Amino acid sequence: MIVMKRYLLLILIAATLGSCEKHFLQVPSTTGTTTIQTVFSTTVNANAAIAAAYSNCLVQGLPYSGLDHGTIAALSGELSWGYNWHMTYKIINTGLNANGQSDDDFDGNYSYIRQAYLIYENIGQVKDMDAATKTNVQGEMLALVAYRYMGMFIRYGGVPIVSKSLTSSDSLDIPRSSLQATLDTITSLCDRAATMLPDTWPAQYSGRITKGVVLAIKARTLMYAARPLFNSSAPVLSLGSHNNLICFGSADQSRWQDAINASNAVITWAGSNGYQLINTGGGANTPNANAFADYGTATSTPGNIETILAYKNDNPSSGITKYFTMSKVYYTVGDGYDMDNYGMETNFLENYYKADGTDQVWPGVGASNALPATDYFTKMNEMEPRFKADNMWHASDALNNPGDQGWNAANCDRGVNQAGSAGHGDANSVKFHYLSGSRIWFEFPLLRMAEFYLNLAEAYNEMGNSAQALVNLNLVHNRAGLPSITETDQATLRSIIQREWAVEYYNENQRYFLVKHWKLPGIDNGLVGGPRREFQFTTNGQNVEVPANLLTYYDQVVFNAYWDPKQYLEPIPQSEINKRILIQNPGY
Amino acid sequence: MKNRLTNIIILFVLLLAGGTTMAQDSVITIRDSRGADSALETAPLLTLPRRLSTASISVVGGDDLYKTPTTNTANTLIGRLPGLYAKQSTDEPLGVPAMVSATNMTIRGLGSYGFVGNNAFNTFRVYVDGWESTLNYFTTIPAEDIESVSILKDAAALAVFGMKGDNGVLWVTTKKGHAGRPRVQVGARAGVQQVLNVDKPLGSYDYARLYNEAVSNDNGDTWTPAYSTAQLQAYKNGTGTNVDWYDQGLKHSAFYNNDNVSFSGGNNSAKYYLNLDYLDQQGLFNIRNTDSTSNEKLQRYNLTSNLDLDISKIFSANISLRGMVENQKTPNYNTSTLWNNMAAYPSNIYPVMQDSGKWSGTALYPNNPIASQNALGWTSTQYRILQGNFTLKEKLDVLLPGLYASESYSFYSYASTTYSKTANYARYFDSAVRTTDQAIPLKAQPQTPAGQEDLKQARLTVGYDHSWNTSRLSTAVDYYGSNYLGDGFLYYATTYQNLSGRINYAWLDKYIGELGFSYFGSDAYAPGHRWGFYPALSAAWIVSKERFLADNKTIDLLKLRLSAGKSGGMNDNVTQSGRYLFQQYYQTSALSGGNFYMNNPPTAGSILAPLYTANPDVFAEKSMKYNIGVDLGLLHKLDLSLDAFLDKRSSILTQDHSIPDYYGYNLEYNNVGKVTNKGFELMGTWTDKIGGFSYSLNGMLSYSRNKIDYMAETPPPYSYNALTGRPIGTPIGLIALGYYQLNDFNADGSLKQGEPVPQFGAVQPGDIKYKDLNGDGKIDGTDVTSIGRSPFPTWVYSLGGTLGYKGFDLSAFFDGALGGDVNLLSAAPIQTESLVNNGNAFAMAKNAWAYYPQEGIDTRATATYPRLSTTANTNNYQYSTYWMKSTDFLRLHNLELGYTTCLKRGATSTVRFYVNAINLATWSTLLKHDQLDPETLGGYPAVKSYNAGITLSF
Repeated sequence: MIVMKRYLLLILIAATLGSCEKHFLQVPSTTGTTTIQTVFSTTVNANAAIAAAYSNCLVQGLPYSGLDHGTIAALSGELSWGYNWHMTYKIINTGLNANGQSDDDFDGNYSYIRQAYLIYENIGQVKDMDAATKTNVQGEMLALVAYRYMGMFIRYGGVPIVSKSLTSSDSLDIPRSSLQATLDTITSLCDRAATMLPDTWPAQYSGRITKGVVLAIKARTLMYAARPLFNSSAPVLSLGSHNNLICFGSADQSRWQDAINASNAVITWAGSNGYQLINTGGGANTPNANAFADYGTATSTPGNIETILAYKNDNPSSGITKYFTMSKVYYTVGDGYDMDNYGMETNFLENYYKADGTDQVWPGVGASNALPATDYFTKMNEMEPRFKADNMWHASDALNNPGDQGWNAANCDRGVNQAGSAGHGDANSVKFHYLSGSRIWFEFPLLRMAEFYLNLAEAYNEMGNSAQALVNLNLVHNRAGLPSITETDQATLRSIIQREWAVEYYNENQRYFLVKHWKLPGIDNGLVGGPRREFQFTTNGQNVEVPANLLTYYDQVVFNAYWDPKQYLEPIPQSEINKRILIQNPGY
Repeated sequence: MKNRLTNIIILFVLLLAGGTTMAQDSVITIRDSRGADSALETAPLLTLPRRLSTASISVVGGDDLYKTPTTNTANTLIGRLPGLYAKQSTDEPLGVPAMVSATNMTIRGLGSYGFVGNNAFNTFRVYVDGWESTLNYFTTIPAEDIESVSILKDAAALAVFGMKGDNGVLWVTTKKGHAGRPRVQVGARAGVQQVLNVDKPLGSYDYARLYNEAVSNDNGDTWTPAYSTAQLQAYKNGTGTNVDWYDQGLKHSAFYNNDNVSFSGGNNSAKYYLNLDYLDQQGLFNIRNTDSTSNEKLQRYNLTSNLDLDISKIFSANISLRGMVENQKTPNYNTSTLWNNMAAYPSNIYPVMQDSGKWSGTALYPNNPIASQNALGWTSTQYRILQGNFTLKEKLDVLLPGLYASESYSFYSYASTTYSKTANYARYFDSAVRTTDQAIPLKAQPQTPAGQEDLKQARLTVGYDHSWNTSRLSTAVDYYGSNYLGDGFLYYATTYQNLSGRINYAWLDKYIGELGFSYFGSDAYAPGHRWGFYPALSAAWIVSKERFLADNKTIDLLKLRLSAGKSGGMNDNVTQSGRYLFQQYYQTSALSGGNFYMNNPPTAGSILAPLYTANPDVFAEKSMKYNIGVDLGLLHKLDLSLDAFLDKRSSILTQDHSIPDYYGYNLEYNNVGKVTNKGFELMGTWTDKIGGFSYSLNGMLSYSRNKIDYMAETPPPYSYNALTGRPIGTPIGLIALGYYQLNDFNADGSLKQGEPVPQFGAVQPGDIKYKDLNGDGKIDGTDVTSIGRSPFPTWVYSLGGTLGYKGFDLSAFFDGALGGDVNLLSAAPIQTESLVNNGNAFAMAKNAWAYYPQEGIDTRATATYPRLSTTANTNNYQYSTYWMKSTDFLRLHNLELGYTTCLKRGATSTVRFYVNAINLATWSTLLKHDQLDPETLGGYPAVKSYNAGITLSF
């Protein structure tokens, strides 16, 4: 009996220990948690992870993705400087630095690349998804990775290349790749993805990445490779033996040809898949009669046929909505006042044409040049359709939402500069809200067809082919309701094309990078750095949202923005440099 | 309250009437550090005489703990155990879950920085009667139920704990019955508690006077007073508003009461111990207990039973059950915010009430502290704990003499619910309502659950004890399984298993060797990584038994101990990333928040993003512990014990900041950290008798110092910025060089050429000047370095003495700590940042830098505080040496006078009357210069208390 008990005990011990590993020490069922296994078990969960990857990878350059408060347009002289706690204000005053003053989120880039790779590597496990869709998803993830590398390429030059979700057993000593290798990585990611992606998605998934998107990413990247900042024999500031991280080392015209080929590929793909420059009221070399509506639609209407890829995020409390929405009626979260100091700068206003294609004459700098406020309203009214679609000027209702009291002066105008103040600018941006009414969310256009025509215009002009340059430029220019341009002098045409880029892509996160990559003269004198000008008003002391209460206006330098040649490229965070693997960009 | 007092007085009178005084030697309890031959080692698995122990263990008896009347038993450990640092904290009548935050303890200082919740405190494990338990549970055990509390410190003592052992173990043994006639013990004690060392703000006059300086400083050093001379005069002569919120909101003293009755006894076949304990603590707030208001208070009932049964020659059993019911009540306002408001609301903002029934309040100061106490209703929480242990033991001598086995099971269940009656009030000022709050009459809120825990443990032990010739062998092997269920995101359920054992061998009763081990498996790690092996080797040599010392008259004990072994640390803290780090979790969030619409027209879709980067190789922290100890007994009067230790930690789970960002996502947790901790403990007891006097003196001293060898820190720009190479918790900040003076500035207010420019905003005379360590002409984040000592003291000490004469006994007990610093900006921001952002003014700021010669103000040469400002003066409130203060202190922790007498001549029935005082006096420079208590700097304070009690045994 006792002997039996002894054996029983031993058996009990052995049995318990034997089963420990398998059962007792299993991770218990926990509530409210999702593991990578559950995420990649069903299409529903996988789609949630895919949505997260889109949301994170494509947010680059938008508020709170490194820039925190404010939009890049403030840095590039399109808009004013924001409040003194905004990142834009700090950068405008003391420049970019490696200790947090940057418009980018360096570690975020790699976090989101990892997120995309995790999906790329695990999507195969999803049970209720067909093989073709899985391939599509993998293509999407490669495209998101390429998009993020493109953003880094433009900002930093060559960067460390990560090609999978790293584990701690991998070698983590990954230095910056050369500019050429980074470019090759992006183009090959695009080429790979192009073979995996569909031309269209089923209706319920429209807005997801198509083959056209990767063609477009490739085209944009190749354009930046061809522009003079990289496409030159030496960088602006030398990195010595590491110059190949930030410069190709030679100025090569063939880079423009590569860009032309890539942009043509986008246009060809678009033609056969229903995407086009929206132009409903004009033809070749004819100003578009519906320019206001067409441009408004192209930049604002969710799912329009000109936008190949948009940031489709609806979250009224996110910074993205906050920093692009003027209407205090529809934007009710409460801190819409953060928009007060984002008026348009005169430096940028001067890029717009009048509706007849000629230049407007604005009052000069200083109170002695003051004109009656009635002149302000008259001149604003004379501006081209794109200006009217993008802006509401002071003490006036937004034209892009006519008759909507949520978008009238009382509810959108943030006030005017008086007595030397800065911030309110010449007009308020209402871009992205054409006929949006009470819909405050919007889709920030990330890749829009006009870009590829402007690419061709720019690249052909650089190749000396002004005829092709003009054809493509006028497609965009005429669509905007303006008469054709006929200039053929390469240098003059170059600045006309650059002006077209500025106007067409106002507040779309393009100008800040373009003016740097074009190495535009005057970048320190009113473009990015240097004196910034805004209109000043005198009033009768009454409500400034009523036109009759504004008396005179004149232009005035309101602040000087910081510029240093180091800012052609962004700083890599100092904490990363301290790890002694990466090389900092020059000047930081 | 009146009734309670009456009851106690009646009890006293009855006992006095029934008692017959008689002379008898006073009862003095002295702990024996080396252990009498009958004393047993307080460690798991084996029942060994303490003299055969090879381990480093400190022990304190329950009777010493009983000397500190408190609702939180952990507070009774302060200064009692060499190697234990117990920081006195708030004595708020908090409920069970808050207890842990109210007691901060470490064993042998800090060995690791890894996943230390609660500021690195309380990372050791608690075992009660051999079962893993929680500090929460321990704090509710009445002191009279406790036989002893030990701390297990070295590898020999911790060998069997595996992944639970690295930070030490608090080993608690509760009382059991003893064979003999039934004994009844009645204890009753009551006392009053008072606020201990609170830094009261200045009155209206001083506040306004300093405010005038602050505003003028902010206006470019131009005298622009906000308060007129007439207003100042009114504050001075008492006609202006001057509310002392502490005076109004606090009682002079609060009542404490603790009574118990226990029965114990039994015979050879059955022994029992039963105890009923009642405890009542009233809070310090000046609130009447009515239907609609309640002081903060706690009432706790404990019922304990312990039953030993000898069923047959083979079988014996033990059953112990404890139930606890606790009711805690507070005013319906967060009490820590309430304390903050009492400190932060200036005296002159408004009187308590505008007119009768109209509470004062403004938009800026909406929460009138007196109204918060009286006009919001109350909330109450009920806690219930049930702990049950059952052991069946078989003596298997029939099989093999000395062989035994036991099977045990334990459960612990905890649940709490809240119930409240809430109200609100309108805030008036100058006869207008100032906030959107409206008067809402008292309303009952439904009872809601507030947390639950459930712990089930089982074990199976086989042991063998045998002596032959000159040898003695004690050995046991134990299988242990634990299953926990709780609340929480990743902490819903956890399990672990432990196969452990000890082999203790003694030869000639002089040479002792021991091997202990644990093979430990935890569910926190990936399959294949779940098990770890933890061996420990130790030895002891009782030198005094050698022939050359055997007849020595001076040395009656000399014992050397040596141990080395490995322990583990399982990271199961309730943090987001403390468990299951091998799993790649996803959660509903993304950078831009909300939803990302992939479709058109858009409809919401959810988002799942990775939580942190999984690490499949993650495993428990490792600790290699070495200990050398000496126990010495001299003249049969002096007992000394010295232990020195070295603890080498490695594989500390660390968020790896050395990994480059391009690794992607939240940095992963790797087993890479390294810390070295070393120190020693010394304790001594002297016991003697002179004529009719008996006396004893005892003291203990603990020292520990650690160094972070590696922590995968983000490489700092300069080596002097780094935390690595410094003790855990070393404060990093700027080095203050005094104040800027007028001649540091140009006429336009800018700093003179050559003065480094602070990057925290413009500075002016009277602001704090910092050292430019890297010499780049800027004061910024690259100029930081160590600015003081870690808040964890390196030295902890206590001193005590007892004097007995003819039934009277007098004892005093001092405790203290040395070698720690506190950063006032983080520990007491309200008291430190005077006037900032509508804050209050404190004595510390009375002598601030100011220069207004026309007003007769010039403290340039004598200032002891930077220039005042009403705005957040970022420059002055940087972490810097300026705000670091030493927390060294000495406290008279306990003073007690008692008288013991027999109830009847010659009988064993005794009665003891005593009075004692807790925290009677404190010596500390922080207290002296800055009015701040060195242990409780802000919030609900610790208490000073005066108590009287009787203990009746028959």
